Amino acid sequence: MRIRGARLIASSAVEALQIVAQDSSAKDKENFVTQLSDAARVLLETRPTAVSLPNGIRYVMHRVNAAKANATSVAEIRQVAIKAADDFVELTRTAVGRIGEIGAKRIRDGDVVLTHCNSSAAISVLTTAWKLGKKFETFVTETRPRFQGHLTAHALARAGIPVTLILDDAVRYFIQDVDTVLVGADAITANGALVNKVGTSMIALAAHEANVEVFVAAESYKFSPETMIGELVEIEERDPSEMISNQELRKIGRVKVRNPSFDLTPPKFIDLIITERGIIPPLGAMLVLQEVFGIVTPEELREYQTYRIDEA
Amino acid sequence: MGKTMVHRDILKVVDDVRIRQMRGGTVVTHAALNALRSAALKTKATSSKEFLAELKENVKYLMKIRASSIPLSNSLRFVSLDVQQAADRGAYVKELQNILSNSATQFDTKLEESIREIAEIGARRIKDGDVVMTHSYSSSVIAILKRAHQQHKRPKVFVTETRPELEGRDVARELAAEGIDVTLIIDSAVSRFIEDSDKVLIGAEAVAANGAIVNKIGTATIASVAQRARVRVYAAASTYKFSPETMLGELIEIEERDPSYVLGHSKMKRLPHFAVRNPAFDVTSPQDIDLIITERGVIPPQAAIMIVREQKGVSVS
Repeated sequence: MRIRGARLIASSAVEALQIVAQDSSAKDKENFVTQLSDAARVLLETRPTAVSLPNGIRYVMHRVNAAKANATSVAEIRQVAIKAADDFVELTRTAVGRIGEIGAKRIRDGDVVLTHCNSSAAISVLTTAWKLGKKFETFVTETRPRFQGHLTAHALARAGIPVTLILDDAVRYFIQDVDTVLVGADAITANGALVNKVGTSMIALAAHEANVEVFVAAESYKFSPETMIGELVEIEERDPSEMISNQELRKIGRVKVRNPSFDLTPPKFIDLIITERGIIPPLGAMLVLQEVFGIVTPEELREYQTYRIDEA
Repeated sequence: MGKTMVHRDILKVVDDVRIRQMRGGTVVTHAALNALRSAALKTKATSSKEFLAELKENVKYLMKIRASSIPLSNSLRFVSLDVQQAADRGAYVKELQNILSNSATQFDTKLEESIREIAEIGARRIKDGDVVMTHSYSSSVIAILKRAHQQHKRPKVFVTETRPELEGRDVARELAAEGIDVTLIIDSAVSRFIEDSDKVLIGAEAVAANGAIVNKIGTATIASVAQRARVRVYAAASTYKFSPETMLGELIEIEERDPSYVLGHSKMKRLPHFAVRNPAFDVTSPQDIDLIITERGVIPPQAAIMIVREQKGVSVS
């Protein structure tokens, strides 16, 4: 949890892979690629729900595996690995800015926008819109258990945007005053469902019932190719200490504590998804997945033979 | 006669509630009645007129505890009416003291009995092994769950921590002390665990004439999530929670509390300026409530009007 935020998680993992490539002393292609694969496997275990991480690794390994066949030396493949890592990190950097540009057009003067958790893509939309001179207000949920909403409130307020901080519980109370809900994404599934910070699905439900539109800001590497072949996105449950200290827990007595970090919002509660490649309806997620990953088989996913997009 | 006639005991209880030592509408009502009784016994009033004036001041101050607390206002009205009627009959201070004390005790007892009755009736709705989700602190809900557990029904309870004051932790502690299976979750995790739940059981700060429930913020959200998941929502509320004012078109006032409960003072100073809002309650519409469990039996929210009409007879407008 020291590295937070999908973009950093994915970038860090990819950079780690890059270091393995740079430092590898493997003498032949087979060993080199195996070393990378092993490292990839270890990195994959660190954060089960953040699909950006496996996608980042996929981006690098797909190109490495493609190069393996034709390469004449380890050095050649090493170059491919290093460049792929750089390209992916660059992609993550520019995607957020691009989403800001596209999404800002959807913010209207006088809008009241509600957001949840701390999403750099969502913040990018809002700060970009503000820089374009749009006048609007925001509601920011505190976002238990780690109060990540405070970071969002800070970022928006610093940009000069009016912010009202509220409890996660108070969304339904204020929803009538809201025009748009704008959230980020930890993962988008093949059927257009959203995996995001726990509480998102309740906010989307309240919005849906109040006829308030729900926008999701999601970079293309948040889309989960595993879900194309029927895999479910695993919802990480984290340590109870995020919610309650051991001391407080002892005062309560013998109780269980459960701390799921994410929840699932069905596509029918989502109006549109803003990606760096453009805006799509949730049911268009399949299109993005096919463009980015192709039609995948389980074997291809396991061997990272996916992530076909060559340009950012 | 001093400038403020409000007794020290009254000031203390209002302070106690303010610094969050009190949980739940029923608990607050008990405390308020105790304070009223004790202040009356220590009165320095020499005439019934003075006594009544003091009572009026004390009641006015106590009403500040919680703008939306119906059992509080019902109880204070009940006692005031008894004392007023005795004064009209020509009673002296000594007798008025006794009347007040007895009246307060009577209401207290009725409140206690109503909770016991609700526990019996509510426990009948709990099946063996039921998974129940609850929110905030409610004496009635805790009583129902304890009773069901005593009847060996082994309910499993999801308890929401309930920001900002986290009174859910007190609920968890009380239930765990009875040996009840409790899982503590954050408020936002409700939609994750609603599919594992058999019913939602909540208390009520107030019940309106149309069957809407005023309760701790977050209740309306949980009820709506439950409806969507086809999980039954039961509200437990004694008839003293039913609000006569709403029949006359009055809206129940939703208290907005000190924003520092949401964002602590030190953080508020450190972070750049932004607004913080802290509405303490929300309104759950009757269509998201399946049943209201009262001490007189189980009613659909649509029947709330019948009980409210009767309450109007008890209270003074």
